[in-house]
Amino acid sequence: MPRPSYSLDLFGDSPLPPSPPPLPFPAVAPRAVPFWLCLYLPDLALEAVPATDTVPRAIQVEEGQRSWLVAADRHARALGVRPGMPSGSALALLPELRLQPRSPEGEALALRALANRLGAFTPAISLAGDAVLLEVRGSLRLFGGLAALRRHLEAALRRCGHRCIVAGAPTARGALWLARSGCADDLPDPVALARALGALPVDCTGWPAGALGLLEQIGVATLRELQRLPREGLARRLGTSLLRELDEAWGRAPELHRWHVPAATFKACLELPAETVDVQLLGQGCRALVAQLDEVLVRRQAGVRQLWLTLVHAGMAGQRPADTRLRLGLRAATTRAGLLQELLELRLAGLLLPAPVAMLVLQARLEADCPLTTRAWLPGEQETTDRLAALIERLRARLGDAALRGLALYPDHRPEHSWRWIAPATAPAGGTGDLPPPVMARRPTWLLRTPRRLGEVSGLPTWHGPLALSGPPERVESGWWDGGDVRREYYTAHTARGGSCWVFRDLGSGGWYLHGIFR
Amino acid sequence: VENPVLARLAATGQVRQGAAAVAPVHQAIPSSYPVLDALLGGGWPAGLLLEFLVSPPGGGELALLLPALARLHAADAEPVRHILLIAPPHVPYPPALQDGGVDLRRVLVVPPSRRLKPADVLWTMEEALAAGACAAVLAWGGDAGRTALQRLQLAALASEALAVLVRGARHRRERSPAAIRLELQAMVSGSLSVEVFRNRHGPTGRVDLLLPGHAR
Repeated sequence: MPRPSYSLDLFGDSPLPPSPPPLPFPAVAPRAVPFWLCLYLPDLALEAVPATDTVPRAIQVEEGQRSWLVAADRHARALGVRPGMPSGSALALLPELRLQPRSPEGEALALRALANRLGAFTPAISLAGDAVLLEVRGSLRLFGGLAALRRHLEAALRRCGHRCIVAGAPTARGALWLARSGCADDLPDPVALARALGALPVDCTGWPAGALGLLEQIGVATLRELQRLPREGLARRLGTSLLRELDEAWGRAPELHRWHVPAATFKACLELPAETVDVQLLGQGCRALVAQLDEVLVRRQAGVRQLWLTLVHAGMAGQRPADTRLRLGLRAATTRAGLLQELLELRLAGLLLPAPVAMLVLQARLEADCPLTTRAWLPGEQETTDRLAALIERLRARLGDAALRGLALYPDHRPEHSWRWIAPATAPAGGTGDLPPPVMARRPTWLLRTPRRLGEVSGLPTWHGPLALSGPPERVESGWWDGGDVRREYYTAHTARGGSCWVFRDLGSGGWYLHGIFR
Repeated sequence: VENPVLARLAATGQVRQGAAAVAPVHQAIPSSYPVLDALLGGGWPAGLLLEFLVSPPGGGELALLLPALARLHAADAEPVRHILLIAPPHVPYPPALQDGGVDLRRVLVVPPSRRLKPADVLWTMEEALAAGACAAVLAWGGDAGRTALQRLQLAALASEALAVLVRGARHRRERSPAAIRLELQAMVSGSLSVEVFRNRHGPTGRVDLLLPGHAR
C-alpha cells in the first residue's frame, strides 16, 4: 500500500526552519574518522534469566493489569509466540509456555560482564541498553584490518554465550540502529551509512512507544521519511533529544558517550555440565575461569593477590549444603594465571566435598600496582641484586649475621685450607682473584669439616666394612710454616656398599682418616 | 606463525601470554643424564618442589645435581641469580664445585649449626624461593609437617627456581605434596640408583646412573 506523502507544513504553522545544509561527513574533521562496531544482543532478556527446565519459555513484563512478552526462545518462536504478544494470548497459543519476569539488573550485569571481556579490542567501550558499542578505529592496524578484528571478535563472542548481531558504522548510533534492525554489515563510508539508515524502520531507534505511535499515525515508516519532515516541527512533537539522536546517527552532531569503566574486581561463574565431586573435572572448570581471569589481567595490566573460589553444591533449594569457599592469598600480587591455576588445583586436591558441585564461582580483586613482568626484559642485574640483598638481610635477621656464607678457593695444597668461607657478595666480584694452581686429581663433592679417624683391619681402613683403595696415592706435604704441618697420602676408596670416599693416611702417626665423600 | 625468538622468550617466561598459556610451563634443566631426562620430561623442572630421599644425607644428591647447577650458570638468561645451599651435611667442597662448572661466586651456603633448627631450614628455603633471587635452592631437612611442605611447594611454584629438599629415606612413607619425589641409593656396582616414585607431571620409574669417575 503506498503511503501518503505529506506536504511540508504538517507540524506547525511557522515558516520553515532553516534545515542545516547537508554537511560533508564529518562536520569537523577529526584526525581519524571513528569506526564503531555495535554488538546488539537480541536475546539479552532471555539470556539474563537462567532457564530452569527445557520447556519453551518467554520473558514478560507486567505493567498494572497488562503484561506482554519482550522475548521468546527459539522453541516458543517456532510455535508462533512472538515478542510483543500479550502474555494471555501467548499462553492460549502455547499452554506449556513458561513465563519468566524480566530482570533488568541481570541484563545490565550481563552487558557489563560482556564489556569487561571485550577490552582486548578497544579501551573505548560504551553501553546501550541492549548493546555494547566498541570504537575500534585505533585497533584496526593492530588486528590487521577490520575483517581480522571481526574474526577475533566473533570468536570471543562465541565463548561468551550470547547471540550477537554485529554492525559497523562511523557513528555509534548508526551502528546501533543498523544492528537492531538485523543488518550485520560494515558501512565505513558515511554515504553508504546514510543510505542504509534511510531504509531502516523507525522502531529500530528504540524510542518510547508514544513517539513511535505518533510516527505510525502520520505514516512515517522509515528513517528516510522521518528525515524529510521539517526539523522544527519534529523537535516540537518528538522533543529535541530524539532529533539529536537522529543527527548523531547521521554524523551531523557529535556523540557523547559515557565510557564503560571496567570493574576493579573479577567475578565469573561456570555451571558445570554435570554435577561432580571429581577433583580433575573441577580443576578443568577452574581452568576455564582462570583463563577468563587471565584475559582480564592482561587487559588491565593488573595482578591478583587474593582470590576466592566458591563451589556451589547441587541439591534442591533449602536442603542443599552450604557453599564450599576457598580463599587463596598470595604473598605478593602475581600476573601469572598458570600459577593461580596450579594453586587452585592444589587446594582442590585437599578438599573434602560434602556434596557434588554444580557451579564454580571465581572472584578476585585486581591489583593495579603489580609488576607486569616478574622478570625484566633485559637481564635484570639490578633488580635481582636488590632482591638478593633483601633476602640476605632477612636471613641474617632471623639466623644471625654469620649464618649466610659464600665460598672461595684459596691457594693452598692442604685440602682443608684450599677454600674459605667468605662474606656473601651480592654483586658479582670483579675477577676470579688469586686462584690456586689447578689440581689435577679429582676432588670429592663433600669435604668433612674435620677428618674422621677410621678403624683398621690388617693395616687397611674400614668404613661401613673394609675399604678398597684405588689408584696411586696423592701425597700432600705442606704447612710447616704456619704450624699446620701435614704429611698425608690421599686415596680414593670404595666401600662395600658401592659408595666411594676420600681417605688419607697420616704419614706421621700412620692412622687412617676419612676426609671426603665423592657424590 | 611460529617465531623462534618469540618461542624462546615464551619458553623462558619472559613474555606474557594469554589464555593459551594458562597451563603452567616449567622450565626443564637438563640433568646431563639422558635416561633421567626422559623420565623427568626434559630435565629437572624449575618451579616445582623436588624431594630427594637419601640416607645418609650426602649420598649422591649434590653430585647428581652438579651438571644442572652448572647449566644454570651457563645457559640461564639471568646469570645473577644465585645457588643457595641450606644446611648441607658436609662442606660442599669448592674445588669440586668449580671442577663441575659451578661459578663459586654465585654460591651461597647456610652452614648447619646448633642455632639452625629444622624449622629454620624450611623457613629459609621458603624465604629464598619467595625472594626470587635464586636460580636453585637446595635444603637438607628432616621432619617436616605437611603444611610446611605445602608452603614450600607454593613458594617453589612462584619462584621459577630449581627447588630441592633432601630428607632421609625414612620419610618416604609420609605423604608429601612435592611434585616429584625420588629416592637415591648407592648400588654395590658403584652406580647410583634414582627411583622416581612420584611424578605429578610425568611417569615414574627407576634408572641407574653411573656418575662420572665412579666406575670401579
